[in-house]
Amino acid sequence: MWCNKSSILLGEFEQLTLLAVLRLDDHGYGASIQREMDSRAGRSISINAVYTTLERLEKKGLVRSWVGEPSEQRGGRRRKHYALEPLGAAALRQAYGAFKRMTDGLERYLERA
Amino acid sequence: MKQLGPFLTFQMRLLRWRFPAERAEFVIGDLEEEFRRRSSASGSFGAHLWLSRQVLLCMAVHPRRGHRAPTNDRLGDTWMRSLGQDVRYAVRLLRKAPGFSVIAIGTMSVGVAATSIIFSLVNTVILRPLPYPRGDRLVAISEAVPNGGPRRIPSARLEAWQKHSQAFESLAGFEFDAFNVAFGGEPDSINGAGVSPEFFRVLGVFPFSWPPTNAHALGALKHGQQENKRRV
Repeated sequence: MWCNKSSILLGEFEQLTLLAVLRLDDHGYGASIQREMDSRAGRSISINAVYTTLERLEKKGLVRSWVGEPSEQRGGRRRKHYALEPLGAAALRQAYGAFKRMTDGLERYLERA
Repeated sequence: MKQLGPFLTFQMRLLRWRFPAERAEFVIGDLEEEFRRRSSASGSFGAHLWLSRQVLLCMAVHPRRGHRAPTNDRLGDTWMRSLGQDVRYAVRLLRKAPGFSVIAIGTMSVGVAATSIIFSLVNTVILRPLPYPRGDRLVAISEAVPNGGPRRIPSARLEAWQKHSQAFESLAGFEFDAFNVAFGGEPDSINGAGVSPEFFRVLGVFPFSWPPTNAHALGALKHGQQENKRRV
């Protein structure tokens, strides 16, 4: 593989998705991740976009998934849960570090109302 | 747990048809769970709106279950993709060089206008049907001198044709000529034609009651004189 797995570059939407998974502390699933992104980032997106991104992140080895038990409030359907993998956590740290370094000293411009 | 209404059930069925089975269970389950949560938190109307928007987004974006993605080995896709690329490329070029765009569009406008004018002329002069009933059945026949132009047909031969011809329904003769006429004042020269008695019947038009009288002929000559003056 030509790219180094320890320096996976994340897109903005991938970063938001990984952060939502991290915030939900290994209990995240499609609807809760969508809700988290809507309430915190103001991104009103379709549930399908959430699953497409999560599947892509899983293929990259950044998250893992497992299927839960059926529940009555979901019409007897199961949830698909997601949790961060070590590689995903490393990619998030790298993205956060890059963001911090790039914004260092620019706070008074960026935080202007 | 309260059952979903018929409209929501229909929306869920649409999604089940739209998504592959391995995703449909989780997507529909999430939507139903979130719909119930929103219904109890902020009311049924807002929840319905939210769910309808989600269903529309899913139907618009996700490829239908079993639908094959377009590939280059299909002729239609290749053609349409190529056409789209060409159009986008042309638009980019035109935006990049506005001066050239103005000249190109101006040239095309002149070309289209010239073509329209020429077609209007050809249509009026050549293509438009003759202004007579059953004009498509009218033909002009003449005799030609060997190695020369048309020859005047003697009236006796026209009568013979009228009598013996089986190819034509009827025949009439005419000959263009110029006439000198005087209506009280100075004589005037008008262009006209001498015609055989069947002429208007063959054309299927009757400018006056039939058969014409001397007054009718005089009227026609006066009209011809006025037209002659108007054109000069």
